[in-house]
Amino acid sequence: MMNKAMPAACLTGRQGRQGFTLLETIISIFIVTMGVGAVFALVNQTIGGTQIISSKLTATYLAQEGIESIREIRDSNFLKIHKGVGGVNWDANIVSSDWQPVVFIDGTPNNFQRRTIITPDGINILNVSVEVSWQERGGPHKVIVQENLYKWLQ
Amino acid sequence: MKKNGFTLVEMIVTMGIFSLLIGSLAAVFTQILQSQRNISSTQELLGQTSYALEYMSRAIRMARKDLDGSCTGIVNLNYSTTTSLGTGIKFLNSGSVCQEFYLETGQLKENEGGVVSPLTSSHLNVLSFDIVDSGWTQTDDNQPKVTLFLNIEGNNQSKIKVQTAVTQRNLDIER
Repeated sequence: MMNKAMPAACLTGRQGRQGFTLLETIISIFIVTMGVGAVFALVNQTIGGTQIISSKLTATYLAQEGIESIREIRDSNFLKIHKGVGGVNWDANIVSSDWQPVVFIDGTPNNFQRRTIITPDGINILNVSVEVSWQERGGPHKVIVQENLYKWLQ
Repeated sequence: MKKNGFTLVEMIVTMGIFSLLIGSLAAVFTQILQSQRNISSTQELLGQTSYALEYMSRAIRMARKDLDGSCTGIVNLNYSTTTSLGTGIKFLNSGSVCQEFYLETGQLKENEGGVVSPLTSSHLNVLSFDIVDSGWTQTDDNQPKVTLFLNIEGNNQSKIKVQTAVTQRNLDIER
């Protein structure tokens, strides 16, 4: 009586299928693996992201260093002009440089490269663009910082 | 007779699969917890590094020429390095107060007019603080530039090296 009242899908008391078929097992294992794999991939990506963010902070400061070095050249030119040293233009010695490895002042090795692109914007403005690039986790990364330097000294 | 319950073999196989599954899930979970801890440490490290470097850059950038030499020790010098406690840099800040940044027992500290306060927390270990000078005197016709390098270690193996340069904003005109 009980068996007849139960739905046909109920496993108990059936004569045919008992347990799971091979196909069902394979599908369920596949789903579980996909789930765990996805979680793991996500975690892995987050760890990678943290490392890249660390490098990005360093790269941003290195780009700032590049900008400040160019500003130092301009301000030194201003000083020479103000003092009356002849033949010095406000934009003297400010030139673009190609990719060069960054040197940490304590001498420790690093994998950052830096280049500077100077684009004159009229006669009184220099557009300075500093790019810092590095390789990490199998791919290239880049930080670009730009600044305009003006000839404010009369 | 009708089969009731499971056989021993079924039971063993089931438990084997179950423990494998739970075991791998637990491994993934502990790995996630560890990563989360590492990421928190890195976050703290980056936040503090950025704070310390920005704070120092701002003060150094706006420094004034030390006209009477009461801070740097030499008349008309813009910056001077110090070594009394650890590597350090001393200058007259924008408020004409003598300010010093230095490394002491793994911590970056500032001394502004005699008031000492830390710039990094005691959780972090500042391994090195290096300074390179360029054009700090007024007679060299070069604008003063300060290059700063920090190597900091946080909890859970987080570490960072940062380097930047700061050019003084006030023109270093001879007095």
